[in-house]
Amino acid sequence: MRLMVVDDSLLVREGLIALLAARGHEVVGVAENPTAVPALVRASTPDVVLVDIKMPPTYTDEGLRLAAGIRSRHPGIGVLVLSQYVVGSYAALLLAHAPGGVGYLLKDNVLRPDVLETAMSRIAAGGTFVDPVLVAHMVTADSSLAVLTDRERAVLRLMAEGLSDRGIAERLSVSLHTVYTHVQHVFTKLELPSTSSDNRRVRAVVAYLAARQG
Amino acid sequence: MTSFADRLARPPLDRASLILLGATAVVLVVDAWVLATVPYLAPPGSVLREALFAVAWIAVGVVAMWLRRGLLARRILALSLVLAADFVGSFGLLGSDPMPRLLVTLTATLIPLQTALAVHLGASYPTGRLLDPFGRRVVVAAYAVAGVEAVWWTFAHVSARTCDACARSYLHVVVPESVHRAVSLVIGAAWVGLCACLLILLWGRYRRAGRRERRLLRLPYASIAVAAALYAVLSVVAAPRGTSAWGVSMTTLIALQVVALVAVPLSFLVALLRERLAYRRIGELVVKLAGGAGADLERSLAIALGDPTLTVAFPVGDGFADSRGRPVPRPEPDDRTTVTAVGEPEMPMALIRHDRSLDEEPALLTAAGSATRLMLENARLQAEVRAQLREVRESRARIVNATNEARARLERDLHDGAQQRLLAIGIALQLLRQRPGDASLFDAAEGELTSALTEMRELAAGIHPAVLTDLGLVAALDALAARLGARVVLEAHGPVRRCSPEIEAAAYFSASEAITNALKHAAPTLVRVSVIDRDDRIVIEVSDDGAGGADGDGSGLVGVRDRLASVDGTLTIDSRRDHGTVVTLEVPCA
Repeated sequence: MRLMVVDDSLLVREGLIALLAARGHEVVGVAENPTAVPALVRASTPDVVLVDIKMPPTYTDEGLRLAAGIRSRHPGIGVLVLSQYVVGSYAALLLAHAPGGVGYLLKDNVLRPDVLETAMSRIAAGGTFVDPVLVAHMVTADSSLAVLTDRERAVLRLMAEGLSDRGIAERLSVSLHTVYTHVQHVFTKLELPSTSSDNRRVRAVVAYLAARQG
Repeated sequence: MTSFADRLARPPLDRASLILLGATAVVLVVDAWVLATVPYLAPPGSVLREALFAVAWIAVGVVAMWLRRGLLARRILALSLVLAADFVGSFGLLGSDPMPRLLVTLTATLIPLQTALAVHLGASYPTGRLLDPFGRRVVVAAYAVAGVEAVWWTFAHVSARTCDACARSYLHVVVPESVHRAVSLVIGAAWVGLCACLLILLWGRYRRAGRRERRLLRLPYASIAVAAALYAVLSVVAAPRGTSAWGVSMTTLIALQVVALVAVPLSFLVALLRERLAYRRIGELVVKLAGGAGADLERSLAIALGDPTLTVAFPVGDGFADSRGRPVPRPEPDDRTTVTAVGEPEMPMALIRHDRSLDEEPALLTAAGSATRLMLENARLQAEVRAQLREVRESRARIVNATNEARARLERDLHDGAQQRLLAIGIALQLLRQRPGDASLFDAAEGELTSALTEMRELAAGIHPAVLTDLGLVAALDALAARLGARVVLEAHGPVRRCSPEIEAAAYFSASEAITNALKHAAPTLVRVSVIDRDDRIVIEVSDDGAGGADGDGSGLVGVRDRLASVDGTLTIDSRRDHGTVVTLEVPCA
């Protein structure tokens, strides 16, 4: 996969480049702050851009804004935001600006090749990825989910992570029809508006969880 | 600044005024006897007019005396006495008996003196005092002109020229008409000049007066001004001829003058009575306060004393606060205002800044002060509590802010430091799985690990050093000094007790902030820290030999002050430029 790394920490940046290269990816661009990124993206057309959430100059929402900017100009290029924050609102904010083609990955999980690969390939295909650790954190913290059965809660988590109905069915080893029924129940019980697109579904679920988390 | 204590006793009636009043009464009796026994030229109407005039002044003088306006009463009664003494002289006593001639000789000097006394009264109204140099000069000049005129009248009394049957002064000399006219003109011109000066003086005073004073001055000043202006006109145009230059008859002018001259004492009387009425408002104030409607004491006092500009300040801590507890500068008197202390002059319970004119009514101020004493004390306590509450609120907000900032800094330090390093180590280990023999990857991982450990240790010490909990304040400060290097020295000390954890923490972090502050700002060669266990307090002194001039309100030390205040501790800073700084921290330790 053709990748680009944007991170202001030299340590993480160089480590990531070495790691990604070692796993057979091609790093086509590197930047340490958001300013140079738009031109680099245009020139090197990567499949996915890995962006640190906090970057200069203000270290607030530069990463999220950069992600939204890249997605709006290059619908074919995915953006994976690397974050050290287990905070649902950041993920919700990211999805609110760009449903589809974006992902929120906790930095620790960069070290887990399977998670990183899943995230990058799903995003490259236009899907959505939300770190399972963050989703688990949000679901555990949310008392309103007591209305759901265990199975429904599992489906909710996988929905929030960005899995499609088929992906959920495979993960839980159940039929597609069963997943469909669970999803309907979840939306009805949480009073969420039902939606046809997978990406919009992730956005709705993450926004719900983030809002409940406060 | 004066105090209510000085004003407490109602003073006795002014002695000089009483003597003047007595003298006037005696003179009036003599007047009546003379008019009954000696024939005179003037018609009864004119006698009545003069009598009315004298009585009006005496009445005002008595009222002023009764209201304990001693000086003003003296000026008025002095004028009354002269008016009464001159009474007989102004009617043209007839005949050549020794009695009328003696009276004419004696009273000839009094008419000019009357004018000078009137100028003096007008210039010193309403206090009776002359405080400005210009006013003093005008009055001195008036007495000088009156002296000259008196001498002139003694030798060339006007009635001697206009009336053959009139009694002659023993000192009378015949003066040629031309000389008489010339001298009269010169003296007249001098009076015109003096009247003009008086008008200028009054106008200037009125302009400088505060709102309350203006209200009191308006009517008397207007009547004085009209009387002075008419007197000036009469002096110039009317004296030598029977009619004025504008064809107004002498009679009309004299009538106008009489009206103006009667208007002056009447206006004085009205002004005095109006002041007297203020006491009724004090009564109303008392009733209102007793009814519990004294929420806004300042406003109530302002209304009762008729001074909308009145303000009350309460001593709170080192400074002053208004009734809402907001800090205000110490009230200072200026051109228009005076500051009166309520309570002990050294430790007043309140300072009232009010219009200058109230100084002339000490009894009124005393009454208002007594009526509101309890309320003022109550208001002062409230202001003090409010001021303390405000300080506590501000301090609490600062502590919360400081805590939030510290948390944010800690979060940043953890995320940017240790976490990034651990991530880098993780990445290095991942790569090592693929390149097991790569020594540089081992080195990198080891280096990151060492740095991460150091950072964590420092971070932990910054949050709460274990040595403080385990071994106490001195050991913790010793460790801090060791960490900061040779420039910081913990000096010898006796044994120091252990205190509660929050007090030790407050003392430790305040001291460490003071030390850091000194190192950062003062550029010292040495910072000495001493810890002393004194009775029920622990005293930490941080002294440096740096630049000095430290500011206790600088944000670094405000945080320290707040932190100490949260455990009832105190912070004092002694810092003169070029003499280094000594910061003393004290915390209670039971």
